[in-house]
Parts: sequence; C-alpha cells; structure tokens
Amino acid sequence: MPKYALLIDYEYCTGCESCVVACKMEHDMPIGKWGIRVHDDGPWQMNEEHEGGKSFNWNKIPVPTDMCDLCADRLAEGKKPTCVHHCLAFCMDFGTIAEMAAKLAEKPKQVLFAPCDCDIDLPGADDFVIPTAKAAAGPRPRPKMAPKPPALRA
Amino acid sequence: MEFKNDLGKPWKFEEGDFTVVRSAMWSPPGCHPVGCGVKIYVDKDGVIDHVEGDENNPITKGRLCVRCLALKDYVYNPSRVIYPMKRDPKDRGKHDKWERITWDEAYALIKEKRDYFRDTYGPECMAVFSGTGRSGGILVADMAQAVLGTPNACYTQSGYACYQPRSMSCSHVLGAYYPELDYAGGLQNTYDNPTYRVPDVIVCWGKMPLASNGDGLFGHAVIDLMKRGSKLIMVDPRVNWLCTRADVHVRLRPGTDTAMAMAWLSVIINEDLYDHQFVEYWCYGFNEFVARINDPEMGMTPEKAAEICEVPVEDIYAAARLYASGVSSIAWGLAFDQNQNGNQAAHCVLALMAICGNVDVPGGQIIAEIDAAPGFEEGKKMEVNLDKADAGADGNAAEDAARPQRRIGWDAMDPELRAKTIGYAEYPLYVDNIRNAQADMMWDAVVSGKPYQIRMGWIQSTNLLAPSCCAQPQGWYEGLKNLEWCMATDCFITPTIEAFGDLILPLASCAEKDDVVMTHYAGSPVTLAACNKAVDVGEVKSDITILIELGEYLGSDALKNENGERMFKDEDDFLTQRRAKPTGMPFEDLRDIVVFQRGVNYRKYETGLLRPDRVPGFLTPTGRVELWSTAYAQYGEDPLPYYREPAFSPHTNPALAEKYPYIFTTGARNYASFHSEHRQIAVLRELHPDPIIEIHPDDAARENIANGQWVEVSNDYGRAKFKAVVSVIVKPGTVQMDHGWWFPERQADDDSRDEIIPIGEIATFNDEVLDIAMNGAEIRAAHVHSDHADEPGLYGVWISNVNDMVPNHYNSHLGYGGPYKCNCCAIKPLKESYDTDMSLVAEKFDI
Ligand code: SF4
Ligand code: SF4
Ligand code: SF4
Repeated sequence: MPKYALLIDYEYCTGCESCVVACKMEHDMPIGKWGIRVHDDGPWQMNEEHEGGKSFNWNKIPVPTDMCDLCADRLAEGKKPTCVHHCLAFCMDFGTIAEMAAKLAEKPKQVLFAPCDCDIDLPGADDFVIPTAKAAAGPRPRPKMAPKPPALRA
Repeated sequence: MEFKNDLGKPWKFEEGDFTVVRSAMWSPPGCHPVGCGVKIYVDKDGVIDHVEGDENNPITKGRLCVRCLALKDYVYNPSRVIYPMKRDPKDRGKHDKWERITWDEAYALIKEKRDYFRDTYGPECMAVFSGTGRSGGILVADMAQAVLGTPNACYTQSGYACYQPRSMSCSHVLGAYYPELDYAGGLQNTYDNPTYRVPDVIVCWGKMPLASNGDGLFGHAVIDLMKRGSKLIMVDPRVNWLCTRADVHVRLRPGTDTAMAMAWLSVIINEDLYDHQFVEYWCYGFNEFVARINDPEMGMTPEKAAEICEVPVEDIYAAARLYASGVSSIAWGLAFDQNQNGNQAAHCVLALMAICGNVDVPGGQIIAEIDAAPGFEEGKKMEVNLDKADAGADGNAAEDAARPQRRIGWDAMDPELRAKTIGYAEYPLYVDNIRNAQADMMWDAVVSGKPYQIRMGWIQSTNLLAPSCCAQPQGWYEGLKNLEWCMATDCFITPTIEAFGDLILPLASCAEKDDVVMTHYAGSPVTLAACNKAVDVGEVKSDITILIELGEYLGSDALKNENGERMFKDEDDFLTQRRAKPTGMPFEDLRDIVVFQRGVNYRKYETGLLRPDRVPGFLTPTGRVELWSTAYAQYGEDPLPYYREPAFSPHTNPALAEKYPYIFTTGARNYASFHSEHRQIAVLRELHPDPIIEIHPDDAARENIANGQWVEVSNDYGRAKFKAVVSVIVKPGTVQMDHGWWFPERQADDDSRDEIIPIGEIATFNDEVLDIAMNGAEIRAAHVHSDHADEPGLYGVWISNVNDMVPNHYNSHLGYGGPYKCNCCAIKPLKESYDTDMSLVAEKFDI
C-alpha cells in the first residue's frame, strides 16, 4: 500500500533540477538512470494577441520514476527525502498521503505522487487518517494541519 | 510530520561514521560569492562521502543547486590536477609532456623567470590574466602588483563586460557600492524581521537570477518573495521561466535597455510618480536630467522607445507605472555590462531607484555601510578625497571604502610604473577604478606587441579560450602564443592552460581551504560566511596561500608590514585581516558561527554611514546621487544619459542585416555549469550535454532547421556550431547561444580545429575607426584569424566558441561594455551531428 507521497507545487517549480541531482547522488545512480525527472511543458503562447507577462504557458513538473524508493534509507533515519530537502524553490513536500492531500486542497497548480509502497513507520505518520466511510462514522483524531502558506496577493 | 535536522549543530560534528563540516561555498567550484550553506560528510579516511545543504544557513535553509550537490565529483575528478607540474615551452599543447615537480621547485622556477623578465625588459612585461567570479579571481591585482610587481592585472573580457561596468556606474552616479535587491539576507529571521518589508514589485532587468546567483543574490530568494506577495516585472528579450510568472514582461530588442529605461523615467517624471522629497534632498542635477529625458533629440518618450525596443507601448507604460506604484526593487544583470551603451543604462536604472525613493529602504535596494575614515572621531570634520581625477594616486574613496579587501600592491607601486598599465592613457577611469589593464588594449598588446610586448603570463583562474570571458579568443590564442613563459593556477588543465601553460600550480577547491565568502565581494550588507576546510587533496594550495608564500619567496615589499615581516602569517590571518573584517571578529570565530549576517541599517544617507567622514549624503563630490554625473563629465563622457544604437544593429546597418539577418545574444547561464567550469562533471553534463542555440520556429522553418539539429552560426569575425532548440522562448529574428564550451572528453590534440577555422590573416587592423580615446588615440577594430588549422584542437574549444563572433574594441567611451548580447549572425543547418556521447564522458570522468 502506498502510504507516503510527494506533493509538488508546480506554480513555483523552476526546473533547477536539484531534486534530480540530489536523488542521483543519494542513490549513486549512473549516467542514464534517474529517480526523478523534470518534465517540461513550454514555453508556448496561450494568447497570440499579447506576449507580455503571464501570456506564455511554461510548467515544469518533476515526476518520480520507477527507481524512486522515497529515499527509504533516509526515512529510516528520520530524514526527509533528499529531493525535498534540496529543492531550491521549496516547492516539494513529503508526508503521508492524507497529510499531503489536505495541502493539495489549499491551492491550485499542485500535483501529488505516490511513487511506491513503503512500510517504514515514521513518527507522527498516524496523526493523519484518510477519511474513509468507516473512520467518518466515529469520532476521529483531529489532524494537525501544516501551517498555511502565506496568502498570495490578488 | 517532523523530520530530523541539524539545526543548532556546531561547525564540525560527528554523525555515525562521518565527520560533518558546515561551510559556505564559492568557486572553485560553484559560482559567485553567494555562499550557500553546505554540510560536507567526510568519512574515516578523510574522503568526502557526500554533500548536503545546511539547514542552518539563514538564507538557503538547506537548499542547494546541482553544482554543490555534485561537489564530490569535482573534488575527486580523475582529471583534476593535484600536484605542481611543469612542461617545456616547446611542448605547449601536448598533454603527455607535463612533469610533476615539488612546490619548492615551482617557486624557484617562478623566481628565476620573474627575475629574468623584470630585469631584462622591465616588470610591465608580465601580466596576470584572470576570469570571473572566483574567490581567487578578485586577487588578480594583488597577484600582479604585490606578488610579481607588474601593474598589468587583466580581466580579459572586452570592456570588462561583467559586473564592473555596473559597479563603476554605482560608485560614480550613486556614490555607493552595488545596490542589490533587498532579500533580507543580512537580517536575523530574514523575511520575518520586523524592520523588513517584502517588495511590492521586483524587477529582473537583463538578469535571470535563478540560475545565475550573481554576485551575492541568492537567486531563488525571488521565488521566496513571490510566494510572499511580490509582483514581478521582467525586462528581457527572452521568455525565461520567470517571465511566465510576471505581471509585466517587456520583451525588448537586445541592446536597447537604455532607451527602455529612459522611457520609464519619462513616464515616471511626466506623470509625477516620483518621490519629491528624495529628489529635493538627495539628488543632484534633477532639472538637467528631466530636460535631457524630455529633450526632443537626445531624450526619450515611451512611443519612441516602443519603436526602438520593438515592444508594444502599453507594456512600457504598464511597467513604469507598476514600478512606481510601491516599494520596488530592481535586480539588474549582465545585460547592462554586455552593451556598449551600458554605462548609460546603468545610469538610468540608478536614477529610477533614486527618484522613486527605493534606495536603502526596506524591500528596496540595499547598499553597504562603509568604514569611517581612519582616526575619525565623532563630531570632527574630515577631508575625504572625492576628486575622481586623483583617484589613481590617492584612491577612489567610494570604491575603496566599499571594498576594503582590494589594493595591496597598487599604492606601493612607483607612479611611473603604474602609468605604464596597458590602456591607462586611453581609459583612465577604467584603470583607476579596478586597477586592471583595459582588456581591449591588452588584447592589442598581446596581438601586436604595442605599446610593448607581454612576455611572461600567469593564467590565474581563467579559462579565457573557452571562453568564459573574452572576445575574439582566436586572437588571444595567437597573441598569447607570444608569451615566452607562462604559469597557471587552476584545478584542471583547461584548454587555455594546455595551450600556454609551462607550469601549473594545483589550486584548492572550496572543500580544501579556509576562505570567507563575501556577498558582492563585501560590498553588500548580506552575509560573510566561512568556507571551512573539510579535506586534504594531493598538494593543492589556495590562491591566498600562494599569494602569501610566493610573495615571500619573491621578496615582495608590498606584502611586508612596517617591521619588514610578512604581512599575513597564513591563510587564516589573511582572512582575518582582509576578508572577515566587517564581522569584527577573527576568522577562527567566524568559522565557529559559519554565517555572519551583517545587519542592515536603512536610510544611511541620513545618518552619514555611507561616507567615511560620516557626513549625511552619498559618497560623490556633491554628496548626492548624481543624476548629472560630475565624474562622467570629468572623464569626458556625457554627464547625462543618452541612447546609442548597438553597433551591429539592423536598424542602422541594413547592409549588415542582409548579410547577417539574426540578432544574437549570449551569456545566459544555466544550472549545470558555472561558465566553463563543470563540463567534466558527468552528472552535471548529463543535464546539459551540448552547446545549444535557441531559435524561433519561424526562423527555423525559413532556414530548414529541425529541433535538435546542429547548425553553423557565423559572422565577419568567426563561426561556431550549436545544437538547435527550436522554441518561442526567443523572438523571431533573435537567437541565443551558450557560452563557455569545451569538451574535456575530447583530446588536447583533437583534430577539431581544422574544420572550424576559416583560413585568414593574422591581426589585420581595419581602417574603420571605432572610437577616439581621451588622448586622441584612434581605437580600431581588428580581425584576427589563424591559418594554423593543423594546430591542436585543445579539447574542441573552437567548435562551439560563440565569443569568436564578438569583436574587441566596441566599448563605451569610458572603455566598458561590448557587443556580446547585441550582435549579428547568419545560420545554416548542418548534416552532421556533434551530439555528446555521454558514455564517453561517464567513462573518462566517472569517480
Ligand atoms: S524521494 Fe528520494 S528516491 Fe524518490 S525522487 Fe526524491 S530523492 Fe529520489
Ligand atoms: S528541485 Fe524543486 S524547483 Fe528544482 S526542479 Fe526539482 S521540484 Fe523543481
Ligand atoms: S548557488 Fe553557488 S554556492 Fe549555491 S549551491 Fe549553487 S554553486 Fe553552490
């Protein structure tokens, strides 16, 4: 069962590829193999009338590969995955699927990946419960929400 | 969920089998002095196991870019040079002729050569050449003037087209060192510090800070600020990624920045959007400045600028009004330097910052406090030398006060010898300001032997052929072959060192030495951070150690104190005396805390902290921001800004545009390398394996070029091959090319040279007079072609050498800037592919 997930806020992913290289260094991956890769959509013009600000689409989205093990060795030591630790835009987050899903609901332009199963129990992981029908029937512990990102100006 | 972290750990701690050293980085390898925090994990054998970002660093908070993440692969790269080596000058270019020697032998050899050249031809026949951004690079003047005793230090980039043109304009127009985007880096708790305010608007002008991190701005701070509400204005011909997140993006034609900035000023002045109080109290020459902006001939309107810059006029109004709508901050970049008209563009942008009241306010432009004059006592009036004409003799107060780590040897030098600095007569402000020979005049000297021949060289942390930093590298190649003897300091045998090096001293990387990373070379109130030695590798030494030891070996008086003893005991003592100075603590204490945040006093022009005499105001002769520049006037330049069309403009030169229909720009950075550094780091090379050219789909269709196809680009000066990225990232008619390429997986005697070199003459000076220097000398263009097609290909350095298409001598009247970002070319598709074989790179450089 997947238990943990990577949440990526691609409004801010700059394509710096720190996640890519951090992952390769951590796992000693040779040339031609990756644990995560940045998919690149753009730039292309959304509105032919104007080419000033916000008229081009360009999103970069890191996608974990089948070699991603969610940094199992680091998790076992209680450390964050190395991609999340080093992300220059602080646009990657890691946690239980429930915790990350709650953050996903907070703003647009995010994507959630649950690349693999993981049987490591991390402290605090059980604070978050997926609200299944069964859980919803009875009283359930109130999730501790992560602090909201500062409000964006209109 | 909570995760383990290392917050609060000391500079060195044990974790499992590792000793972890907390440190801050500065090239080699990496980048400019931004000083991201790293944790270097060293195993029991004293070998780096891996590197992680240090979450204790108040700015980077654990983040790292790919270059520091791959640090280990640089440090232990199989091609790294870790022992001193020499080679007979007749074997230049031959990789198998290097022979290991000891440091003592190396120093003795240098002394023998130095003494011979000094005594036979005079000390000025020696020159030290340096590159960009590195920790040792800023020692170039000391290496030349204090260690060897020659005035000729030289950053070889035509027109010093990197940073210095901006910083010169700041010293003279603003009377303070580089005004940087205020990203709260010097404040405790950074963005949350109560004295700080998030800028309402950030302008990235000719700068892509995310990848470049120049020269003390942690680029991704812009992302932090966007998340906190800053709006973005981008002024850039390309749609770089940030432009897609910007409120306004002004896609100006390359090289027209001055027209654009004058148009913003026109809107802001004529719509009365400026800060009257700041103008009245702190600006000099506002009325004359307004008259110039509104002058029908020399001035600028948004409508006129829209035509020149080829943008919709609404974008100009929108940008100017948004800029003037709140506290705004401009991050300005290399485009100001790589432009013949850049001094004027800088003048205008400084004027924008000033008249809108954004200088030295929270969230605006931060500038550094400077030391009080020696012996200064509160209340006592001091005379401060602000006469720029005397700058050479007595020091330029603004420059020295802001950058105390400069000039050990210059002052001690005999004025007669100083006067022999190449280019001093033609470009005195340039030479005084940076104590370097003027680059284009040095190019003439090495190529033509005039006014005198340079016979001994020192390639000090530069790979100028690659070229990270020169124009017409083939000309430099031909010229530098005339060096009778040449030494080098670097971590690798670069094409430049393979070509000319007769001795290489192995340089320590930032993992193998102590250093202090000074944001903006100490000219900005952000941080001073300790680069802490983590490991030993071979027999490498740092630039600072070489300066101290070689200085002593050569008996340099400039490096002795009053008692005749050596001025700096060792590396750490040098750091304490020179680089850690603004922290008020010795290096050993800085090492313990790793990062020192300098704190920011805002509005220092009200308190006198911008001047050594502690008089309120700015460090200019008038004490104000000089919108009418007394310094420019004094050096023969127009004291007010004016627009000058790029030399290779299709607007003014239609015949040229017919032959070379594309405008080209170069110099953009990417994450995987620091200029020509990192090409042999396989994991980084994999991210960006080939030199690329960006070309618009319409142009690609016209020229029959497919995405991914290789093309040849050429103009009157040279040609080069690139792999096409067909993309609307560039405007139709404009292309953008990578710089700094060589192919370390190829061989020194590679045969790539014959296919790229046009057969031509060596050093033909045109009849065309480009400029009249201040002493009346005529500055001419020159073409240099080599007909030596059979010479070694030097790791393919000529294959994709965009700088070969950039000529020397297209500078501003003050000797600054060059047409790197506003030049012209023709493009044709190639049948062959030159794609990098990554398996070859992996095989040669895997560790
Ligand atoms: S979680 Fe670990 S293994 Fe997965 S992509 Fe990130 S760094 Fe790679
Ligand atoms: S490290 Fe972060 S910003 Fe950089 S590419 Fe990966 S997700 Fe994007
Ligand atoms: S920006 Fe410079 S100091 Fe920071 S991680 Fe990258 S190379 Fe290292």
